Amino acid sequence: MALVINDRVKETSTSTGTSQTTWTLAGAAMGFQTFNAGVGSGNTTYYCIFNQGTSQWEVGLGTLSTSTNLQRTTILDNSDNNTSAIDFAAGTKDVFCTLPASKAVYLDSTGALVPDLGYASKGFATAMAIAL
Amino acid sequence: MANIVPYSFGGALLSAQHDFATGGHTYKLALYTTNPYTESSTVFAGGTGNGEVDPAGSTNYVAGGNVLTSQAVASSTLVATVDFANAVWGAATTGAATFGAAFGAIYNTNTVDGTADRLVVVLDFGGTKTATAGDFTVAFPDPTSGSPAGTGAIISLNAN
Repeated sequence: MALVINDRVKETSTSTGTSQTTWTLAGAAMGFQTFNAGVGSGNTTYYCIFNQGTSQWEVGLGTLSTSTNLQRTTILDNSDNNTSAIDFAAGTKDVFCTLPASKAVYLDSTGALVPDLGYASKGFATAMAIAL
Repeated sequence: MANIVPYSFGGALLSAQHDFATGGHTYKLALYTTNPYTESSTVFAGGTGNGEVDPAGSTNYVAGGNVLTSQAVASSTLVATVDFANAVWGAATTGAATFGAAFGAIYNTNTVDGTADRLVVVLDFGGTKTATAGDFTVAFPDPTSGSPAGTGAIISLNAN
């Protein structure tokens, strides 16, 4: 089981509630690919669920247990600002692959690694010659 | 990217206000995030207000920079050179370094003719170089490099 993050993975869903084991994917949105195609059954991925027309959303680490079921394994953030499963109301949801901000590693404007993971990196500057 | 050789350096050199020979004056290399100097600058300008790397906001950078070691003067028929050992802020010297710098300034800490911290040269690193829990190294060029030999040294006088 690998963690797979892929581009243009997005499906709709009409599942509701807080179940972290059953979340049915209803097919790819226009121009996107399914989780089964982009992530692969049995793999994990970072996902976002957004309930269209509402303020409900959730970001987490999911497991694609079958070709059409995304388990909401670990909730990382949500519209209630906690790490519990959102109780999604009725309606159509967008479910898509994402890179959570809390999992991003990047360079700041000075070139320093963010977050500081404790890894060492070297700075190397070359002094240019001066001929008088 | 361009180093700055202050106008005052040539005069100071001919007035014997610098001694780069082994055992001569003590030179330091200070590091900066921004460059506070122009060609008209004459002495070292320290402190975060002048863009020097902030000792409080970094790890193992000390205000004023590090002393340059192994200084030496060499001369051939045409070219006289000055060289220093590479300057390293790191585990073997100050402890692992965490900071970034885009410029360096070499200056003479000795007081000569009533003036200390005479500026020698401002080095432009061509962008910010950053060390994170590792070595920050400023590498000086091979003092025998260049054509004629020696003109690639960090400082050289060419009689050609």
